[in-house]
Amino acid sequence: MPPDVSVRDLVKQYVVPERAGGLRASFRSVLRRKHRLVRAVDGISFEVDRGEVVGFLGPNGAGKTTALKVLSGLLHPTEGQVDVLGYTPWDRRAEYLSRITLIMGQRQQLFWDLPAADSFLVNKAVFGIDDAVYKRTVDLLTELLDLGDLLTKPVRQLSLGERMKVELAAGLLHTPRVLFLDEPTIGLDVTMQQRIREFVTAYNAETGATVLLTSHYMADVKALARRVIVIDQGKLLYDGALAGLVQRYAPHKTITVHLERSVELPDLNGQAEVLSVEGLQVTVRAGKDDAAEVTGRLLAQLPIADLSVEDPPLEEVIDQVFRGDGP
Amino acid sequence: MRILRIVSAFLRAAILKETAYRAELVGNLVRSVINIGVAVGGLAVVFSHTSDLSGWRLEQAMVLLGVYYLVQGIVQTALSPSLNEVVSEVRKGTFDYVLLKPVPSLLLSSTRRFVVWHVADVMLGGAIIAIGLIRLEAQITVGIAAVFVGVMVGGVSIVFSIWLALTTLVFWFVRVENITMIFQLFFDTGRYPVEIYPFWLRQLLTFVFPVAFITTVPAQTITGREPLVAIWLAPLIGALALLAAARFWRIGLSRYTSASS
Amino acid sequence: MILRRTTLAGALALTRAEIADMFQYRVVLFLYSLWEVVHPIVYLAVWGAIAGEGEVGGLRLSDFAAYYLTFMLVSHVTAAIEIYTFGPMIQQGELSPHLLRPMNPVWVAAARNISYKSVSMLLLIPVWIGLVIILRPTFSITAGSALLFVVALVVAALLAFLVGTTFALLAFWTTRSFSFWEIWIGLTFLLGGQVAPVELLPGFVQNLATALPMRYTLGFPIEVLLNRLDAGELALGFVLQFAWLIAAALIVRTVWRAGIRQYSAVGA
Repeated sequence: MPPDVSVRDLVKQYVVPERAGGLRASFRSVLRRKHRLVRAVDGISFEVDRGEVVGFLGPNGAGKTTALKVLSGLLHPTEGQVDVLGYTPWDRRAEYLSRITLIMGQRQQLFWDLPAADSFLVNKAVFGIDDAVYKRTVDLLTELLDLGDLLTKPVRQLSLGERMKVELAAGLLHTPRVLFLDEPTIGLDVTMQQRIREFVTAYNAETGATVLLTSHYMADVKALARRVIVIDQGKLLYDGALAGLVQRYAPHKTITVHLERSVELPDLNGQAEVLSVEGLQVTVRAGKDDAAEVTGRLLAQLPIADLSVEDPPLEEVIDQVFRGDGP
Repeated sequence: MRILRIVSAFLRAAILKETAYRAELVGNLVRSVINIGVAVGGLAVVFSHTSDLSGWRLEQAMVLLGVYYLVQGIVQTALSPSLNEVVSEVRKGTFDYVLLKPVPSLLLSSTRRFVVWHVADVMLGGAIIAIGLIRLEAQITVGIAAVFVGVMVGGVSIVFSIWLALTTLVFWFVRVENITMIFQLFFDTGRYPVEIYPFWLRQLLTFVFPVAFITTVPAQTITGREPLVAIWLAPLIGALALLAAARFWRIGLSRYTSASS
Repeated sequence: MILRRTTLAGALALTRAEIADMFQYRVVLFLYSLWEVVHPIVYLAVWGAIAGEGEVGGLRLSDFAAYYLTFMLVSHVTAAIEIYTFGPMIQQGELSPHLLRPMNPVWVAAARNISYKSVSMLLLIPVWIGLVIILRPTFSITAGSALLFVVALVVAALLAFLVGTTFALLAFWTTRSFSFWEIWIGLTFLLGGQVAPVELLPGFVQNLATALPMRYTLGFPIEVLLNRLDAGELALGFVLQFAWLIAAALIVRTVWRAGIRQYSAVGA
């Protein structure tokens, strides 16, 4: 089976006007304008198989949103080939648009003054969804997202989180096979973020849809995606399992030991640093390459009740990746 | 002095903002020229069928049209941008920031925004007045010019007062986004002398919604036509309107500060 | 633009929702409707003042009243609001959600146009009836002229919509397409039959008005209804109106395609 999404050497370049501050500069810019080329996406290739959930990671301005917009056909790339479900996205064929969805943070596609149900009916007609399928989908989405009576209230009366749920549902009415989610949890409180995450997991399990999502919140990615693609300054830095990312980029490991009794700590030879000593629990940090040796020495020289070796938190790893001083 | 500094800071910001749009600069100038050209063309069409429109000659009607654009330009440059901002701020709840500034709220609310390119309307309006007067071979003495300026100040005060009063309604009814359209509705009747309208409408436009004082009366003053009403009424009504509108603003404001949560 | 079955159904559903949405703004719409009444009244007053008890170019006061009262309705039906509805949508990046649906967003503009007019027409009609009672026009309408009027009016509304959409689409390239639109409005004022019925325009201006598209969005249907045209003028008018309609459709199509290419090149 061919992959659902296939991207080869994707490049997207923008022209941005430049202008200095101040009255004189602004008058000058009326006459002559300076431009600068920005490569938002700079030669990215990857494939996504059917049913996969892939997280796009990267700092602000890394090119994540640009990539999603190209994939959903809103942007025309400067170079490269993209194939999603056998279509070229930017041809924006009706059949293609009926099989995908792009959900962008707080982008409004609902009528502000009307209950969401009315906007749903518009989408039903636009996507040509027949009655039975429509009813089944609305029921499923109502259950998964716990929509309750939200659909019958004017959208302007909904809270931010409620609106996001309804917006999500509106974007999924036509049961797309590929979902592009751009910051689906931005601005939501922790409970609501959790809720949306659970929904995406359930939806993916239920329908077998392919999901590509970007998020600021590492928790989103950790909960949803087994595979991550890391982009920085338009370039692909990493593509693979989430666990592998940590393994590759984590600069050190944290070793925690529980002692049987209080003893003097051995000389760690400068290979590890003691982070804390709390009663019988000792935490040390060792460079990734030294971790094994340090662990061995600790086991050999100390009366140990329990020992664990952990990777540092994902946030820290990602931070490391973007600072560019990884291995 | 401080007031001047504040206003000039706002003006500077306005110029900065406007120059960001190259198309707008050209577009607005072209637009003003075309708008006024079209209006003069309209007069030419009308006067191709008569030489006397309710006692007004073409040149006199041109002066009146010039006064209309002069006032329109002043409104769009200095009045409507600031006051429209008040309406949207009250709606969004950011009007509080205006009240927090150590400047009288009315001053701040009416001088904050300028849309400088509408000055083109003011200049072209002035140009049409000049052309009309030259073709009339009017003898403009210092006395007549002074009276004209006085009458114009009265007219602009009336405009400002009406606009301010309509804006003030926002403190009671939050959804009045387009309430100031009511002004434009009546003001558009001022492109032509008030004498062309049937009696009842003329009375309405003179005494209830005094558009006559904004365009007809100034044009009469300077083209030496028989005045519609006593000329000294114009500045007097202007001053009264200003006082009333400022009073109304304070009432609205006290309602806002006591009712807002 | 290939018409898919779901496109029509979608446009219909959209119009229904837009009408419901539009009712929220009835006060504003009422003000807009009043505004559309003021201009014809001004020019009726001008021509009434000139005609007095006599006539101007064969038109009496009651004829002017009929002309400008019809004008109110026609200008309402053919009003192009795309510069206010569609233009800002493009400028503020709100086009993206619509581009993600399998329906050309021009239909969104059309739905809004129709819903705006149907709601505000309801508000305008009572005002209009009141004015008819006050102004006592003489409508010289025949069954034939009424029938042709409907055709001319529908084509005029379509033409105006396409022109309005073209100007709104300029928002793809310039931040203030509004200025260009005002130029069109100015030309329509002079040549479309607003400042004066086209038959009262001086010689060469009248020929210009006959050739250019503005009259076919406004003055022409009025002239048809009130029997102001002879057979030759009528035929020429319809030929030119349809010709401009086709031209406008082609222009919208070309500009839309270029615009969407631009949009997807610089970013949504």
